[in-house]
Amino acid sequence: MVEIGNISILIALIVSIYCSVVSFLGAKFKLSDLMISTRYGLYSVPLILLISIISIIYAFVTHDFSVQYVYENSNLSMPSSYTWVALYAGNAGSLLFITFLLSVLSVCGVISIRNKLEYALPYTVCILSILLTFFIFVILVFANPFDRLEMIPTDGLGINPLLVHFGMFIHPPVQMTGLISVSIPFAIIMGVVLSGKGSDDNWVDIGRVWGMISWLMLTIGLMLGSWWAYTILGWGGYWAWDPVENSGLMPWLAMTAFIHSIMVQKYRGMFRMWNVILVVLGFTLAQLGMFINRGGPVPSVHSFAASTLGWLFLFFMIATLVSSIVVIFIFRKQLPSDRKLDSIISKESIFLSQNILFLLIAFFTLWGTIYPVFSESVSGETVTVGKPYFDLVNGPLFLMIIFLMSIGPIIPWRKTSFNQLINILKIPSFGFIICIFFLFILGIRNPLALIGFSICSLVIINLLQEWIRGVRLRHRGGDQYFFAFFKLLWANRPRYGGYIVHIGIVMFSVGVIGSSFYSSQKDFSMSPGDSNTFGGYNFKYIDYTNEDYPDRDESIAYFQVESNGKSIGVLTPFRAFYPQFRIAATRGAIKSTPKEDFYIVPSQFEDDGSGVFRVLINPMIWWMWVSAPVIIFGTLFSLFPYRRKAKNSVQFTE
Amino acid sequence: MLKKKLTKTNFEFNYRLFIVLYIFIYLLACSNYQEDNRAADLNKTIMCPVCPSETIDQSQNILAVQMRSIVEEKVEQGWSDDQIKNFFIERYGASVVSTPPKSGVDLIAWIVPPAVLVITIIGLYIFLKSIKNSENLDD
Repeated sequence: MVEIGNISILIALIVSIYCSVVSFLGAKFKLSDLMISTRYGLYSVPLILLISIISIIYAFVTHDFSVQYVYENSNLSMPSSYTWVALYAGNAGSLLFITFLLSVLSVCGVISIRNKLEYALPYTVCILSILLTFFIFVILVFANPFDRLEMIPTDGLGINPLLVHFGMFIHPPVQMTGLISVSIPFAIIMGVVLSGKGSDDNWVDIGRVWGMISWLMLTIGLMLGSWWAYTILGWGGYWAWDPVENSGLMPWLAMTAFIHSIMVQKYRGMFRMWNVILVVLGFTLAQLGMFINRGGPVPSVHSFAASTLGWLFLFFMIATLVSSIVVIFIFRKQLPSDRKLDSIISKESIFLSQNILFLLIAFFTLWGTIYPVFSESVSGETVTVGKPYFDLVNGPLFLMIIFLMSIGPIIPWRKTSFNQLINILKIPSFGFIICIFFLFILGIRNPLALIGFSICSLVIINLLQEWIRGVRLRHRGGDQYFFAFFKLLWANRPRYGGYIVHIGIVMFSVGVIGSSFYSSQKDFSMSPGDSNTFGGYNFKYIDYTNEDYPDRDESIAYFQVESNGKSIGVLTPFRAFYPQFRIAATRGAIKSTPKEDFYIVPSQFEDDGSGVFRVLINPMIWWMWVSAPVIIFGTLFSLFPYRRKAKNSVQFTE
Repeated sequence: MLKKKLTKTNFEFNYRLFIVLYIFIYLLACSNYQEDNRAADLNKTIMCPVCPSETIDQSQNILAVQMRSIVEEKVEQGWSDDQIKNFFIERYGASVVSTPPKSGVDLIAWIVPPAVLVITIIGLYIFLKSIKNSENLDD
């Protein structure tokens, strides 16, 4: 069965090499038959790869430990549902999985431009095929999941117990989809540039849609990762600026800049060159992420996918970056926009500043991530660049971005005089100061938190102002207030969907600010029967149980928790020890409310039930997780297609 | 004309009031604020030497647990943050603290971000200024 998988990988390699070479030749010599053949060739790649994925899953299900990858990533005691997880838990398998995702997304991408951007098609097919060729080649030569062992072991090694969690079903696939999906807007836009029709602006809508899809996937992936770290890894935090976290964040930052500045191109026909550069940057940073994730030079908690392949990815990243720069340089004449910025005080310049801030954060994150390597090669001494550094360097920039997010929506396009600006800012400044007073009375005394919260409230004030204005205008036109609101939102979905996402971002930021400035924690040494008090919570250690499973010993503690005298139930944090891996996994128990989370996690657990329990009170973290559906809804709302549009998709609002 | 002037003065008054009030509250806030729980804060800045990229606050490793109790002990004994950090640096090297030292070669780590920020702001300023000039030329 495994041989079938191996053969189909080989076939996929041949097909994708054919597609990349022939589609380029076909475009060059204008041979439409050749171009069409490569398109269908590309369509066949996901099917061929699916065969190899099925064959490796079959090997897992039948416990064929003669296959090295199966031996390394599963064992007999593993629950069968985790077979699926084992597919992407290791290096070789996750590469196969990513390649499969890329091939599926490539087909979707090609279908989406088949009619609208026919002239770019052969080049896009060519770029996507080159990417596929690279990945399949790496699988076949350096990390083949179908390699066999010389002798057949009786049982496998199993997967890292930290990965045996529900989150493993969703976080890695979504994150991988996010990282690899940046290839699609990249391939489409570079395809358009290569076809020599970059100046047509027909690609803006499709580029935007694909940019937002990959942005959404990256966003969900990052949020799931944070949520998983928070609920499982048992240290009460959600983001540690770990190198691999950073490598997921950097393409997200570039894509966030992209989906904003593409709106300027959509509505004002500007920033064309800039958008092409941003998508190249996003793609490069996504590849850098793969380099760091696959055995790059920096240690990380995500080292389960470690290998020596990192340098191969670095090489490929440099190759694609250099060729993109060459392409942009060759076609530079058609890329500058026809229009220039009209004024400093305009929506356009706010978009530009926002873009630059996002890129600065991406650069500082990159700098901090690779600095240890740089330092080691210069001074020979290893240093760590950790959370305090990134918080200090990036924190203020994030605040500035939220500030721009607050005033951006109410500043008009094109030109605004200073007096107009003052008029526009009148209501927000009043609202701002009322909010500060309110927050102050509520007891927010930390200066940074005060700034953060008040800027967040400014975003909401300005959005409300903008919505009330729009609803009033429509009301005057004869609509009832209630319908006017929905009609307003529906009429300009890209814009108002974006504002809904902004509300989600504010909710998220409130969670981040609240939990980073006001979380408190304490370690309690407790035995069954003890009770303690912390931050208004009374918790009594009632009992514990020890249970032995074939692969792990689990100790579960039962806590009766009361908040201000009212019982909020029994919480059961536990600790599992996996003798085979010599790894202990702890799982916190969380009582979450919009105000704060009560979080208890065992850090030490003795056989007699006594242990050290860490208790954390994390204010407002609830808002972070609740923001996710809002952000997803907003993004989908703004992606919802218009029924039929004028042929020229670029609309200038004058 | 008069009305226009009025709104303008009105705003200027608000604007000043706004800034004064903000600074007032801000200063008040700063004076009231003080940090607590030094041990927990310190734990977040000291790396676990045997776990990749985890602080002793995060890690469940035995060494991290021991280091946490050392930190608590030293804080109770009245050691300063720097003293405690140096105590660990002497034993495990510079990489045990979560930020590069602010001296020697590693100063670069700290200088690059503000330097790039300043250069970007200057660049943006020059770019936007050039727009203003070309705008004036159009007029």
